[in-house]
Amino acid sequence: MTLAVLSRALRDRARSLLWWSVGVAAYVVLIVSVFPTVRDTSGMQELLQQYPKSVLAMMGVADIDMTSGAGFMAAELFGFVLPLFVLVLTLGTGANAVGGAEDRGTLDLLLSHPVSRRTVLVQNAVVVALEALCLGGVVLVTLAVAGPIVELHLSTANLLGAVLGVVLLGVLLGWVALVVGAATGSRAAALGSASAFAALSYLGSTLPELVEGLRPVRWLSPFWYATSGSPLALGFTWWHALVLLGASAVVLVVGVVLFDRRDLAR
Amino acid sequence: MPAGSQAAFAIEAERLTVSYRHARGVVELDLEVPTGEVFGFLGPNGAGKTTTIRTLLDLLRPSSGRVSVLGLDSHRDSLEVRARTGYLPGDLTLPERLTGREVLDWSASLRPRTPPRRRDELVERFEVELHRPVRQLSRGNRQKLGIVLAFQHDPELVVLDEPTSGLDPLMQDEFQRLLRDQVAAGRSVFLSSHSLDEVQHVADRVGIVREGRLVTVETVEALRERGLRRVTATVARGQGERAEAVLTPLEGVTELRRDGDVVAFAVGGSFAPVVEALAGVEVLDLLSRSADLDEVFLAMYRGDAEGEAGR
Repeated sequence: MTLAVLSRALRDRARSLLWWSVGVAAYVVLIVSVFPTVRDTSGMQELLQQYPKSVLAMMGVADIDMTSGAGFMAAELFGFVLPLFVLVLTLGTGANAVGGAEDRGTLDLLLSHPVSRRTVLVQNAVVVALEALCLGGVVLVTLAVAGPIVELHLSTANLLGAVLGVVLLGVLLGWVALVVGAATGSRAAALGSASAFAALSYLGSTLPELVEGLRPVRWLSPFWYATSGSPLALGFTWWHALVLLGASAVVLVVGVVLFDRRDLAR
Repeated sequence: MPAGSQAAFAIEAERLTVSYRHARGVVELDLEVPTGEVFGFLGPNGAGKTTTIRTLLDLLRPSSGRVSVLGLDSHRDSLEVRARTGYLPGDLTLPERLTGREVLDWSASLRPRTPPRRRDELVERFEVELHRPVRQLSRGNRQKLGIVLAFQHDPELVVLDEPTSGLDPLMQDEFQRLLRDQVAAGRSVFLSSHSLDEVQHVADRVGIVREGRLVTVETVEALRERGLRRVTATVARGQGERAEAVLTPLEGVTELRRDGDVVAFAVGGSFAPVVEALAGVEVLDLLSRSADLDEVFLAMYRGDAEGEAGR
């Protein structure tokens, strides 16, 4: 089997991925450098506790001790900003890979070569996953280097788990964008539906904290599997990774079937 | 010699029907393109030419019927078909940011058996710009890159959709030589166009599609004979009426109009009676051009209708 589709896509994405990595690393450094100020501000935690719990939950910082390293990083990085970074990247890449190529008209030329549609879809899925992993790796390395300087110490296992959760979230939703694009031939449909799914999924993980009746909804939310239960402070729930991986695999298989049956637009 | 066993027909469609979105597509098309021939596939825009071509490459799937390419099923054996076929799309869209060389490398990486020498030869022959990104290339230069893409792996069959659009006349000649070379080497060419001019100098036979159906398959000579020619004759002052008088009774002449000393008319079939009739007139200028394809169609359908009425 040829890896030509994969290697071409990686080369196309390399420059953009480099800048994304720089951006994420810069953000992590910035957040880490602010940590000593927050830690040493007396009354910070008391201030936070005066907010209504619903407000804190919507911000993703309910039940979090902002003055601990784990609590601070959960609130400032892992709860929202890092997932956002990763999702914007993987959704964009996923939607662009097949749906975008069909929109632009370059898919015809690619598929006039002896390469199967399954190969095209799977190798692009690998590209999406590698991008998510790359950003995850950047976060790990940056935290490992910058954290100790300000005495921000995190459990290695918990950190790995928290990063893994976000990476798998990015893979799942990036593959949703890829597959919707492959099934419809439209980049807009891919990006729109995957973004809407991501937003609903975020609400599905935060709202049930407030509304008891919504609790079962969180079982449908990839965000909840990726970020619930304070992975940085208490440890990642490892079977959540299996749920995210399993869902990603199902999405990809469905995508291969749908893509393979379709008439391609010119 | 091409690799693998050689089928008698490069393309063979049996009652092929392709409905594509809401477009008409192709209806019960029967088509046989013998190996080693340039086959012209002619029809007005929207007749189903591109739909047929994209079905050969498995980009579209038959709703019913079947089509085989190089003796292989277009869908089941699609990878093998595409490995042995070259394709130049009608609206060629290349990756904008890659240079010409990167585009050719990319294509070659997807086709493991691409001989590098063949590519160099084509690049030189068509003066292809390799070092600038595609987005900076003119339409003609993109088209030349597309030609190298379609031919660089030395395919047994090339499928070309309106291939000479954007090419200057010099390159069009070079392209026609390339097609003759291809056929001389026992390979096959399927050449789609809406213009008779684009195919008449290279095609052995021409199939005409209209509204998704194959109307006829004929040699180029036969088609030209059936086709109309539009003639404008300018005669010496005062001889216009006389020219009109000698031309009117001729069987092949239709749509005769006179404006002073200029007579315009259409000629179907042989040209000889017209020349004979005009021998007695002092002709200053005689302009003749082949009617475009739509007019050929019209003439053809008129012929069909008359034939049926006479039965």
